[in-house]
Amino acid sequence: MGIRAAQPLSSTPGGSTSDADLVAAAVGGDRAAFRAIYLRHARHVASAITRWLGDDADLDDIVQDTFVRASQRLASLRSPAHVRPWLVTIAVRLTHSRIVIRRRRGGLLRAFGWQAARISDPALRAPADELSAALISVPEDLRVPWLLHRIEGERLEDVAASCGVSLATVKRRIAACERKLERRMGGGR
Amino acid sequence: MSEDGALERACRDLRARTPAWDDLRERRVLGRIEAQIDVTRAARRSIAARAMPWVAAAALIMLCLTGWVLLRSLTTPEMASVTVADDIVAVTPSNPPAIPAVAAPALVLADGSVVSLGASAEVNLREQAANRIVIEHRSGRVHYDVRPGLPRAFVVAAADVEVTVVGTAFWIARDAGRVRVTVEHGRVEVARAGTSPTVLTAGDELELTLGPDQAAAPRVPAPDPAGSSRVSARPRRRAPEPSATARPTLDDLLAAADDARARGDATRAAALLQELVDRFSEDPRAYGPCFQLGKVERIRGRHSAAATAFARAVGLAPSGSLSEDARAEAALSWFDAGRFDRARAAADDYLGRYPDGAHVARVRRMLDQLP
Repeated sequence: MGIRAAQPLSSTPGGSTSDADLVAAAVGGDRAAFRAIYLRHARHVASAITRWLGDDADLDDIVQDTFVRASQRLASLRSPAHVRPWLVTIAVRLTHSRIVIRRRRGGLLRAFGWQAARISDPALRAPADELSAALISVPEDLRVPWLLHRIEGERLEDVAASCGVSLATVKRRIAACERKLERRMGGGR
Repeated sequence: MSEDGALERACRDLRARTPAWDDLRERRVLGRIEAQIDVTRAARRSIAARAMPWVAAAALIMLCLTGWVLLRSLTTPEMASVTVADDIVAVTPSNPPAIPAVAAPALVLADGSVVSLGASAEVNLREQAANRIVIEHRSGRVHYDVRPGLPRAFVVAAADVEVTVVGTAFWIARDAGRVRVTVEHGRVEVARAGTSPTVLTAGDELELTLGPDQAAAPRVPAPDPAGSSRVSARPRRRAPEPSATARPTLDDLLAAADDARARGDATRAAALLQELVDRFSEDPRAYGPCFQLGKVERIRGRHSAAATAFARAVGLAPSGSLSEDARAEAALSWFDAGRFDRARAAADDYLGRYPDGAHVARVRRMLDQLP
């Protein structure tokens, strides 16, 4: 099975309307505005969740819960223009809860396994698999900011907000994660 | 390849692995989200609709309760103060209040003194004149807050026990066989017919046992004051003296000391209190007896011993309820003992701690007399 190309519903959901305007309209009960927010950001949220979880078994549920919770708290969003990091923050918390549940059930044993099955080019499989295997051994509080920043491309400030820690702490954690990954990947060669 | 290069390549690889989030999945999840939002909103509306009658009912009940409480506070006699001008009246709460501290009936006398009755308490205002007020304390626990500084005698008679007040606040509790007088502040004299009065000041408590004929007061106030002033010269039931073989407990010693004080036997009372204080110096209950010991020693004219006892009481509880009195009494006792240096130090300590204290005038007068 190869990597499936993403097919968004529209290239620019909501047209040129800003996030802030969409949020304001959604708070006012505009269903189309909320739908536009979802279509604009769901992929990013799903991507972050998937990389963190290591598989997409719970992806639909977490994305659903993220946007349902967002719909309930949209009015409390202090900076509507930054709706994406806010959604990631909600997703991070929900994913964390899911991981805790998984840990109790021993579910992490099969984590990251899905990616290897979807890689069609054997030449590309090894580094990603090695990184996935290394990531699973990194503590969660280091792994999440690293994933959000290095893989998802989130700004450090947004990562800090999503993880609920200071900017300095985020930088320190990302650096620590980086060191661990380098050590593990280097040892595995 | 360097380690950094491997990591970077792995990162690029990982970034390239887009999760299987296609149009179909996106629509499916969106459908689930919108359905759940609809369900949640409907559930909230339903809950609100179901809760509304209950909220309204609860608000109505609260309104009724508040109105009832307000109405009751305005109309219930137990809650109202009673001002008595001239007539002799008896005040008896018909229904013991659920919360005595709040609902206790109060008798406000013409001179401003307040008599607060506890549950099932009964008093009889026997005499109220410009120069004399006499209250017959018939039963129960009553708090007397007597307005000080007025040129009249204020007397409370509980059976054959007569409490004469200058200006003070104190409790009298009378049950079937005992009368207990507890002084909050000020000074009272407790006397029984045929015995010399015992002076009680702040923190003192005296319990007297009534004779069989005094145990129960008649429910109807006697019209003739003389009739109700029948006294029993019998002393209160004497507490058993500590035996020579068994070591008396703190309670034994305290009861025996109280008994000795009631009999006017200050020497015996001092000995018992001294033993109590020495043996139970670590017991918090020794605080009050230590203060009492100081007062008994003052009565006996042993001012140095009294000052020592007062200072010891302060040491046992520096912030205790009797601390202010004990510090002042210690200063005055040192003065009477001729220990002027200690008197001055104790007086300065008192004035520094209690610049507006109850004993400032006495202590200042003492300081003025110091050589």
